[in-house]
Amino acid sequence: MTKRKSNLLAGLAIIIVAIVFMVQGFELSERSNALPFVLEIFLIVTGIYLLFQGIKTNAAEKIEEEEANLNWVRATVIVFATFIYVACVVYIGFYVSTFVYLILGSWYLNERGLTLFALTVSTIFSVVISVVLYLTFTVFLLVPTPSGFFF
Amino acid sequence: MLEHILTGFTNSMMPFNFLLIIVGLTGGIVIGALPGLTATMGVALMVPITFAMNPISGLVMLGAIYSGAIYGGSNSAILINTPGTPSSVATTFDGWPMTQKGDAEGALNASLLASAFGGVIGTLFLLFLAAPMAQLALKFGAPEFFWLCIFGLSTIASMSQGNVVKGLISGALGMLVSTIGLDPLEGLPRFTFGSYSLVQGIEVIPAMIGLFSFSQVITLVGSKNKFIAEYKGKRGATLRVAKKLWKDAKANLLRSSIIGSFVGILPGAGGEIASIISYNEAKRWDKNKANFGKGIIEGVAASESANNATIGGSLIPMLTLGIPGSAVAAVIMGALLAHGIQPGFKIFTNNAELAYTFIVSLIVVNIVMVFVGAFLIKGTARVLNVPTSYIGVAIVSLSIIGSYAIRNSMIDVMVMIFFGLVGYFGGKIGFDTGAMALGIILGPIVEDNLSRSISIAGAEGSVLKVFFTHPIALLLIILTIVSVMTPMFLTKHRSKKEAVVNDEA
Repeated sequence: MTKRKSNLLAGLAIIIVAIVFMVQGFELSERSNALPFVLEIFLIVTGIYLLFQGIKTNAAEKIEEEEANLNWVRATVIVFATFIYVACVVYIGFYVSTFVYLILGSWYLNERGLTLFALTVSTIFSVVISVVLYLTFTVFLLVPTPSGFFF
Repeated sequence: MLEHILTGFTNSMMPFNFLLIIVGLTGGIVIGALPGLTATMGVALMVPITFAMNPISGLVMLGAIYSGAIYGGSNSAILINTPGTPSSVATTFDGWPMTQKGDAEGALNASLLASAFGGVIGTLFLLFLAAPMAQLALKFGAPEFFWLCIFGLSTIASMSQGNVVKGLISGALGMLVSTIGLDPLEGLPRFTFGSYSLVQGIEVIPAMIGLFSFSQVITLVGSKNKFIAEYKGKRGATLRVAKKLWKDAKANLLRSSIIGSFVGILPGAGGEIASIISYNEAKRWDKNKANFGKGIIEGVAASESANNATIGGSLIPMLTLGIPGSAVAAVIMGALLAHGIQPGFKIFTNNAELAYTFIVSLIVVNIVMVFVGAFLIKGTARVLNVPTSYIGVAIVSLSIIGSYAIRNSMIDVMVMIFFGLVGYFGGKIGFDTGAMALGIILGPIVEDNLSRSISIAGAEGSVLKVFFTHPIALLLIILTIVSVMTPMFLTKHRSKKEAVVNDEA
């Protein structure tokens, strides 16, 4: 990403966030809104500063990117799979959802491709992690986990 | 006193108590290393078990869990860039880069040794300076707390060298987000955006897990690297790191431990503030400031010695005044009361054996922690040998359960995912997740003490007098100014130097 694009995006994003909070803050009392208001003003001012910086910066100047070769498809699939996983946790229960998520997630990401062997390894991995999580959180630490229809 | 110390040492070394120390430490380290499970939770879970023991053994075990959990938080901070407890946030600044450079073992051992050192110094404070320190703690009012947090926030300036503006924005954004929920002044909901679930506010730990952990998972699963980092266990790593710390970080360790002990005494200020301030001070006093944040042992040592030193500090007001200095100290105080023991100065005369055994056992705990921790490091570091395809999804499951465990609320899980995306995309446009986490952690403390200071100023009729004339407040203001100005001065100095070199070339 170029420095210009980064500054413009950051400036714009921060101004929008500050304005959204500011609009919500109109309903609050002066006392309650004191610190948030100061922060919103600060964010708007610095956001404008970043926008100007963006306009001033040389369009070709790039920022250092550590993960230039990020595989966007894999990352996006896992993020969406996590959304589905969280939704399932509420209805199906934590352990069953975790078991399925770990199998499918690790199988998909596996370097060997979607082979039967890789699926077997992912299943074993999923069983081990699910059992370790169950023993650690539910049995030993007595920490409640989200439960749904199942477990 | 010496007689009581010797009795305390003998009691700590009794086989049953010694076994409890090992068990407590192991359990504490595991709890601390799991994101979402805090030291408070670990100690609170074990309190009922101590009812079956004599009070001395019970307290010895609780102290071991407390120490183990605070140190344990650094393990996940170093290995997967996810602070196990909020007090390990600053450990990620150098611990994670060390792992990426292939020196996870060095970082883990530095954290272990620094934690043990800080823990011993904090306990020595508790043993020998409890009375004067408790008096000093009483001098800290709302304005002093306010300035202490501002001093902590000033770290952002040095953390984000090269992009101070985006660092400050990240911190301010974190503070703004922390105002979501019930307003501490009037008890009314703020910034809930029509969602009732947000009335309970943004919990620090899920936000932190999201910022550090979930955002990291996105990078991990999308990367072409098969492993998080290269790891090859080397023999004698603990000794190598001990020599390095002794050679290069003696002053850093001592300074950070003293800061941690001081901050620990202050009720409400804990390991998170102490480690951030110590990290900043370590950077300021180091000759090679530019190396901080790139993966050096000194950064890990500063943060970890400070957060473990807060343990002894936080027990000072609890044992001497009956005012707990931290949430864990409050739980331990509850355990004492349940055993029919009243904390306060008289505990040192009426229950001298118990009080001194508890304090001395903390020294033993920290020494034993070096051996237990070194043994566990050999296992935990092997996480790095698990391919990212497995580790990535396992971190997601751990993050979900860890976020949920705080308040048994799915909204915290959603908060975690939201902050994960904010951390990832924010990072792409230059925002600093560490600074944002600082804002979220310190925001509520700043607002609470600011409003209380304003109320005091209203009653006294002078804002100036309340905020700027107390000696401790003045000292903190000066330190804050120095902290903010130093990076700016250094950046200018560096630019001038580079300009001269370029001219000469």
